[in-house]
Amino acid sequence: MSAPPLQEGEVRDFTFQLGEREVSFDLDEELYSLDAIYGAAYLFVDRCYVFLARPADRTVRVRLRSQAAAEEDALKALAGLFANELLNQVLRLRIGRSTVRLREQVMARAFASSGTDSTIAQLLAELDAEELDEEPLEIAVPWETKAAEDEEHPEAKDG
Amino acid sequence: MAERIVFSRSLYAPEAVRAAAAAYGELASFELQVSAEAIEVVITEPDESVADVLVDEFCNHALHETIVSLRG
Repeated sequence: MSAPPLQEGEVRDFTFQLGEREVSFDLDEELYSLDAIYGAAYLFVDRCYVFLARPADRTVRVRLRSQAAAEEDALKALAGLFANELLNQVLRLRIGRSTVRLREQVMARAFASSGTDSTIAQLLAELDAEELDEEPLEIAVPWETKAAEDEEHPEAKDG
Repeated sequence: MAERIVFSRSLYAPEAVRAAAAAYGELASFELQVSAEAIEVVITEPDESVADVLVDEFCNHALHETIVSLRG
């Protein structure tokens, strides 16, 4: 049985039914999409037993059953945590939808070839074109070459 | 004693429920009937050591499989 439609200005609280070791509540799919409900349920299957039912069109009944004996307060907290996670999932999905084009563009730019050299190719080309500075200490000159030059021009060594 | 569970097809994927039944097949006997509206599962001969949690664990597994299959 689904809840009656709200009158203008009327606010419906988050209501739930408590049972032995379990709490259940109905969600309106106009407010919480099935994806959001699945997202929250996915995070809760590790901490409790989750069962979904369809009591009416566009209404999903969520039943959370604790894995061990639980006080009433703990069950209320469990329902509250699930409701919070539902809002989190709704927001996450909404942000995901609103930024889908931006993400697609970023991915397209990352993977598509732009027709110009890639950054790495540009860096390699810069290195190849770079003229090395003169080396006054001639550290890169092999010892044999340097010794042969000294023998041929001893005056240059003396100074 | 037989346990009967009815999963709404608008919320649970039949393949996911079948996968859950296969996963728990060594712990009980599962009989599935899939209709346009629901997937009905009858569980019999549960292993005594897990009988108290079998149904809940099975339902969790079916839901988990459904969500995973939908996420592709």
